[in-house]
Amino acid sequence: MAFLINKNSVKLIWLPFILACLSSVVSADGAREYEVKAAFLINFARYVEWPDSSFESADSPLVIGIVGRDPLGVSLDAAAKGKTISGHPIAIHRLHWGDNLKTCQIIFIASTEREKMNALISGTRGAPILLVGEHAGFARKGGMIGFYMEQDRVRFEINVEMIKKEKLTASSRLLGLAKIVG
Amino acid sequence: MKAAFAISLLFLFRSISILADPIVSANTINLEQMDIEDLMKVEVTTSGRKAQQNFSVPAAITVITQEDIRRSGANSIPEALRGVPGVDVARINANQWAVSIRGFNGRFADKLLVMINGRSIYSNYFSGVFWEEQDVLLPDVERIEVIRGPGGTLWGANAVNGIINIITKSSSDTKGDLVQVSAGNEQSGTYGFRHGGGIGKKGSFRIWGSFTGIGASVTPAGDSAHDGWSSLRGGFRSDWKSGEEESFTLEGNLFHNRVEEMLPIISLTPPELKISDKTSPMKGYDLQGRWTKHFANQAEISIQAFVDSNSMTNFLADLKSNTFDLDVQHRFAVQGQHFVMLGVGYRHIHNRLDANADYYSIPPSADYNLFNSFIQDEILLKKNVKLTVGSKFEHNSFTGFEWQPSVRIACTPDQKHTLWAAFTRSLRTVAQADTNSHANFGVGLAPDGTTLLYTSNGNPNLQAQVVQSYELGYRMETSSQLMADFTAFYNHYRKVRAINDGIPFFDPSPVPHVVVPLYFSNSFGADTFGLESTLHWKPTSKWSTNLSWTLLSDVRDGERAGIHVETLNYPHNQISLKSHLDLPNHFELDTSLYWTSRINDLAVPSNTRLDCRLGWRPSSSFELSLVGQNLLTNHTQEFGFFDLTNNSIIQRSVSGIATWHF
Repeated sequence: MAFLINKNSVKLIWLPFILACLSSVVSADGAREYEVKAAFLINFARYVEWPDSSFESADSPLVIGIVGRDPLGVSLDAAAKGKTISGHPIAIHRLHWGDNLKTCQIIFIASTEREKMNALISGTRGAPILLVGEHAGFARKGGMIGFYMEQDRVRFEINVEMIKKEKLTASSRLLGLAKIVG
Repeated sequence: MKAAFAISLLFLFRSISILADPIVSANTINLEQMDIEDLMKVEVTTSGRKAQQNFSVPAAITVITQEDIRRSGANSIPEALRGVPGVDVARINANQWAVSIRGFNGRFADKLLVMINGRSIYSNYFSGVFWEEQDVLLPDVERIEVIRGPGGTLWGANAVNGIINIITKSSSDTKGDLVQVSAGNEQSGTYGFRHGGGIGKKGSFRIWGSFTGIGASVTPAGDSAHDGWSSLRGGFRSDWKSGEEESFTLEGNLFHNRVEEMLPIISLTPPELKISDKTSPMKGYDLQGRWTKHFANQAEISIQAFVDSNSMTNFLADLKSNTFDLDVQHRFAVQGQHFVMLGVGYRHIHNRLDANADYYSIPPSADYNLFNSFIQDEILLKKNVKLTVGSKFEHNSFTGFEWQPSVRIACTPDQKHTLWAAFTRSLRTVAQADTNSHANFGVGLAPDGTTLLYTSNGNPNLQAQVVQSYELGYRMETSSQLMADFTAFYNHYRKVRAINDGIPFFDPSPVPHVVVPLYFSNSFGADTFGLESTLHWKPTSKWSTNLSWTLLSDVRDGERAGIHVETLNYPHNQISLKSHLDLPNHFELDTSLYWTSRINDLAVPSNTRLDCRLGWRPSSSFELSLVGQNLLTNHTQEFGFFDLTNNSIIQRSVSGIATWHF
């Protein structure tokens, strides 16, 4: 019997929680963080230029690879659907360890991959891949574009040095909106 | 008590009305059609963030973030662990805590692995943690990972019931200065500072120091419990990066505590039991280095070494312990199908327990060596199914070769659900206190008037305690607002330490008496089973709640003639409800309500505890908090008399904390 709850006081503990559950039904909410991040990723594809050599042909896809548990989910697929960037259709690949990262033009490293972040960054060294992450200080720590939150809005930092090093070009429009680091 | 409870309810009600303010909903806006400039303006909610970490991990894991610690108002590591499902935190008195996972709790709880940045901090002497000895500057903590259940495959022996890994921030994230001052009715004061900065382009450092003074609490009879204490600490950490491939961390810490303790003195002449209330020094240092190099194809190698030296002196024991540890780990991926981790490690332990009439070791000093290696392979069976198999192999000075295998499987059918199961065999290996210690722990009278002296004695033939664990877990995150985590487990313990009666003998001095020697043995067994659940719900960006419920029960071998068994000392039921609410004008209101059922083994009554924090952060550089702990009652008892510790009453406490970053 000791295993079961038999105190009246315990039932009371649940009360605020139940009330709170009810209230959620009525409260409105903002956009989902990852829908906004997905939309940003498509825009990064738009405002960054890759060397021609990074595409097999003029109409081969621009690949966005996702590393880690995919928080972007269907929002990225939806955002990419039917879009082309200078003739390249956008393709979304979910990556697993050991996959060839160099088939991607953009790699988004989800926050779940904190432990593997450094390994991923060094694994793509020397290839024109735009590394986008969301860990604190991602851009400063060797990534290229790092998302951060400010006043409930999604912002991003750009490590200009790293972008240049891998022969990518970020448009001034993108740089104008970013916090420049590195 | 009712009034305080009503107040907490009122706060929760208020929160509902505050949060009903709708934020402009962007769901109706087509984000894909927006200009990048407009995307910058979209307000978002960042709920569920916490849940995403470790979502597909095939183990029962809870991560306490810096934000959780800050908002809990906790002023020590054990206090920050309250409310984690499966974890039982009980404050014994002002300077001692009993912390365990899945049962077997006590001041000397010894089935838990506790680490700071991968450095094991349990005492080598008995494999348990002196929580008062261990602390860090809490604002420097990045996160605390709590893994319930055995983790012996990766972490090694002693990770039988769980692992607590305290991870501090990189010094590159703590540049600038921090000053923290707190004072309250139970705590005469805490002062902490940190100074951090860069070293050239590639390095960074921080130094820190803190002083804490905590007043004595009272005994159930209303006297001073003689458990006041003070703690002076300091340390540094430096992180270096060479390109993105290599990183190096060096850190060191020093501490000096003065702890008032009441300890029993066993005497053959009346009175048989006296209490000493001397102040005992505890001091120590550690130094740790870690080098990591990353290679192409996501391979990584890391080498870590540390030395740790500490001593505690009281009239029962003068215990010194030195540890040197070296670990090498290598991980790499094979063909996108396997993620392999390999490691080898060596640990050298030197303990010295100086002779004392009541408590000593034979021989007084001893050296131990521990060699270990592990291999683990995470195999991607199908796109969403991961199988993890591995084992740790260990050779120690007491019991020779041991192995600790595990098999884990996780299935993440879509990104919203994870189902996992695990089987593990793990060990609590023998510690020095189990094999060659000697303690006088009681005096009694036989019916014929003969004085009896009970002694406990180590047993050099003691074997490792074995637990086989079966775990099943389910995690879901249906939206970014709602996350739930359930774990069921069954642990089968064998060869658990018990105490057997030895053969009594006569001793003529100093007064004629009969010694009743008691010996450690492996003759106890128990099965525990339980359910741990957490519901994390963040209805809006300004309010998050967390409900956790732990059920635990056991079936154990009973006392048999001549055998005294270990008690499990846990509450069957624990519930915690936490609410973190952002109020207007930079105010924060945090409420934690804990309910713990009776601890039958110790006859500790059921307990309801309310902690509240009202915080004010007018800017990112200044924060003021008013923290009330244990608000519902004047005083409460969280743990019982146990071993050599004295319990006391935990009083209501109110304190103010001011923190500046500049």
